[in-house]
Amino acid sequence: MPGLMRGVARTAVVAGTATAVSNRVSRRQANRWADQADAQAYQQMPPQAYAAPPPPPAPAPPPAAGMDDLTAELERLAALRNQGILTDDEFSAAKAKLLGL
Amino acid sequence: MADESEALGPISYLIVEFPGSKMTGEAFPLLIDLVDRGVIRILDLMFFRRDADGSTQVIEVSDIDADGQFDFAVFEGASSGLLGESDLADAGSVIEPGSSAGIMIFENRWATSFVQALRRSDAQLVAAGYIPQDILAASLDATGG
Repeated sequence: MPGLMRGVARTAVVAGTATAVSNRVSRRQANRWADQADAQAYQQMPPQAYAAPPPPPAPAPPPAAGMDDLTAELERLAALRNQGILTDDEFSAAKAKLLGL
Repeated sequence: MADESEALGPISYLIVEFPGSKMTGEAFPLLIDLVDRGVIRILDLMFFRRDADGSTQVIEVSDIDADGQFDFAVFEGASSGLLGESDLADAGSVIEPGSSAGIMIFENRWATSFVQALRRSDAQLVAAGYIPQDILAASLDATGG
């Protein structure tokens, strides 16, 4: 198959940095072009953290309670009231909610 | 860090031919946008025409007669003199007579931080380039894609 990178040649590695080159070019330019280096540069943006994996999808809402479930839940609420964990008012509110009143 | 902000990104060149010297200027606002967003920085820019006899003539931006709305005057000041006679001759050799062309030397500012990080970790960019679309298509064909 044909190669994608025909005639690839190794670029000579330049030791050290050439920071002064930037300014020397700017000095030869005029108008907006002399100020290009001041443009909002990509490298000056904060590095973007890799996106965290998306949170797992919210669990599906429980299926509507059947009659048996409803009875069991009412009994559980009643037991909580009898144990003094729920007051009468809290029991009534929870029961009304459970029954969709 | 001063060193960070002054560092250069990889430098590239482009030679773009305008067949028949037809320049609408349509692409140039997008080029300006790349500069304004800091994606690239133009280090030098030159327009020239290759005449029917094969000779090349530099076109000053103030002399460009655009067909469209774009005002080439915005490029005044972009020239830095980096591009010389031999560059003009080299570029001219690949341009059809009767056409105009632009040569641009530019810094890939979008890659600067990446390249710096590579250097800090003792890695080096040893080659880079463009892959023509037809070559890519041929490779896809050859690999059953």
